[in-house]
Amino acid sequence: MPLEPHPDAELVARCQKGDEGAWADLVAAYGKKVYGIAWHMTYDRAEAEELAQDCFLKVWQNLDRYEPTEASLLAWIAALSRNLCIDHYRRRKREKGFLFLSDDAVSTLLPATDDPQADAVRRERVRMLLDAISELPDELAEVVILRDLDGLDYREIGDLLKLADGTVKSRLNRARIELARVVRGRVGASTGDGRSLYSPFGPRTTTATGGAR
Amino acid sequence: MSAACRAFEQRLAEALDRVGESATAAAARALAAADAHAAECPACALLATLVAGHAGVFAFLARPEPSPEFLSRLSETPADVRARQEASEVLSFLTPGTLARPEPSRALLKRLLAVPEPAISSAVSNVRRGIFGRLKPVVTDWRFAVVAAYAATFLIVALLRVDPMSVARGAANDLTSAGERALSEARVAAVHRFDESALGRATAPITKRLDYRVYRAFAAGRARAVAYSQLVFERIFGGAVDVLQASHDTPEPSEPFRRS
Repeated sequence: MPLEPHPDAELVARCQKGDEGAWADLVAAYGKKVYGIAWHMTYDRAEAEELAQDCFLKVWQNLDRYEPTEASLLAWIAALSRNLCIDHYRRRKREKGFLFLSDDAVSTLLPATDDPQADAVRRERVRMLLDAISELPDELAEVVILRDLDGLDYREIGDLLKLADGTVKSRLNRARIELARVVRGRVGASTGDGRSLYSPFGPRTTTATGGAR
Repeated sequence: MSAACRAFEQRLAEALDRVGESATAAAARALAAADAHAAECPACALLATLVAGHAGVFAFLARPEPSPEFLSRLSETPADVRARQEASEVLSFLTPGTLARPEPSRALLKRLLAVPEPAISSAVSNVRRGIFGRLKPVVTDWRFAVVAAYAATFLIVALLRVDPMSVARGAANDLTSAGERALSEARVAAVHRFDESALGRATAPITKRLDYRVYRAFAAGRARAVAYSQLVFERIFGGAVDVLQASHDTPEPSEPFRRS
């Protein structure tokens, strides 16, 4: 029985033929995800835009090499962007020792609410948490970023990292426990049972730009 | 970290693996509340609480969105799209199997298979060589020298009818006997030289060291002294007196050491 062509194969074929509308469709479908991965690897808007642009340039240059039967278009694009981003992430960690989280970056993740005091506490906590992620080994930090921050599902992460779904899940849980251990080392025993640490993060009701998930 | 804490982390990981993604926080909280070790160990209880709390924080965070201007810039058709459009028909020829492969003609294959003839050496050099000039490269070759030496040896053996092994054996025997003779002569000469040396004389007995005439004079004097002393004692004390005849026990020098 002949295999049905992948839904993305037609889009890629149109792009290869120089269809201008096809390229716009491709960017509209995957631009936000690529930008999100790049942002969480850099915590900087300008650098994320640069990385995303490099990624799509690479996609354009390698369209001929895309094989629809081997991976979905998202996994292929994410793999290209991941290779660019992880190199940038490692280089930046190596050069600076940590990933600097600017106020602008925190504001992107935590839009202001009507309670400035709660906003300040949340920003401090988020800064601590993201700093802790950058302390994780790269393979653990990567799955936390892709799943918890970028929202990719197990299958997409598995396609991207060439791992089985079960392996992705166990690695993700190991990363979460390791992350909790790093945070525990930072806050110490003064926090008590830890319930108060993240109490400002109740269910989100309104957001300015990002929207609740 | 104790073994109990490690076991708790293992239980926590297993609990998270069992449940779905949406129930991660609830599973961590439930384990922290129900686990006996977590009730005793505040660090492990805090760990489970943090795992649950992080899920809430991640859910709270907004996702960074690219600006519309950036997306529109990305959506712009790359500069080489026109070239790609124009070249698409040409590029399609690059697909394997689309274009036929050029085959070489029969005449070319025949020419390629032909073996080139070796060049004639006389045509290369314009110097005329004599018979010795032609043989010189052969004669000066070391392999020729080895072959000639073997041939000469076999020829001599065949002409003289000599068994080379027996000749070699006889020569070896002659050499051996000559060597043994030389060794024995050297040994005798060494003994003689040693005996004549100061060290040899010092270690030899006194009868060998002294001249035989001196020895005889010494022995006669000694016997005379004994006889006179015997007579003197008989005159003074009367009767016979036993005198030790020690001189008779002294060994005389052997034949080879008598020099007089």
